[in-house]
Amino acid sequence: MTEPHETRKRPLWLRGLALVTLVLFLVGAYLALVVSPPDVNQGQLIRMMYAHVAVAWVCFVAVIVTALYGMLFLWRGHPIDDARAAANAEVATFFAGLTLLSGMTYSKPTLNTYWTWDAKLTLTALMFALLVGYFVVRGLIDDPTRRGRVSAVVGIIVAVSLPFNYLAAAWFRTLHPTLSVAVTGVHVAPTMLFVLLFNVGVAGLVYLTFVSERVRIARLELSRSEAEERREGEMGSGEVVHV
Amino acid sequence: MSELAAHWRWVAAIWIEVTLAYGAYSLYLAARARRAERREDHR
Repeated sequence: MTEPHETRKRPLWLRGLALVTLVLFLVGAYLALVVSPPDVNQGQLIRMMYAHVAVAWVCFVAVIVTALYGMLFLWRGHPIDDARAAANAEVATFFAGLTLLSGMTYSKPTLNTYWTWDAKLTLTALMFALLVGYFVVRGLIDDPTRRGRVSAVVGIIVAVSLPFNYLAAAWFRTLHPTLSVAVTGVHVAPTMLFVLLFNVGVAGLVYLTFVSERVRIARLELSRSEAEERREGEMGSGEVVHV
Repeated sequence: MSELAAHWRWVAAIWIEVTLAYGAYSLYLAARARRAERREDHR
């Protein structure tokens, strides 16, 4: 069900979360740009890694949460689960786009090219395309239940591609470096690891802030669409709202 | 331009890129929230 009418304004905790996130983002940037030592191979360019890797990891999390809410919708059929899945998918698309953009910026000075069609980069581009497809599909279907089901399946397909994407650098010949922090162990200096994990945490907070606000908007739009459906039942046809 | 200065230019580029992206998406969400809140007020 949707939130009561009184909660339409942005709650205090969400404003607080946004403020804390902003402050920690500045601290994370300071750690990356000032505190982190230069790398033995990449020199000062290692400071780009903290921005790119943090965004990429959070993108993976957003895709997984999208799939989980999609599964929940397929199981329970509650409209709010579909709204939450769509909110996460939108934020995942944003982070996927930013992963590609920051990856290209990081790649030029370190690997001397913006782009190459190797396994890792192609799978990431495919993930972005599938996420865009998620919203194309939503735009094509008017029936909310069918829309939720089809887009949930697309969300699950995107999530299934993640393990291949994560391990592509290890499995295939690719320009993308192999994992710095792998399941088998850590291959970076302690200070660098701290700065990296701090920035990943901050990107996680950015994701949490964005997705909380996006879900709040989805709830408002859903409550409006439900009210319109009720009115439709009494008077006739009306506008269909996509959340 | 020295190699060090060139490196710092790329470092600045990626951090500005990420900051601008966060800012732009925040503005989009704020605008969409305002519209949704206004519609809710009209109901």
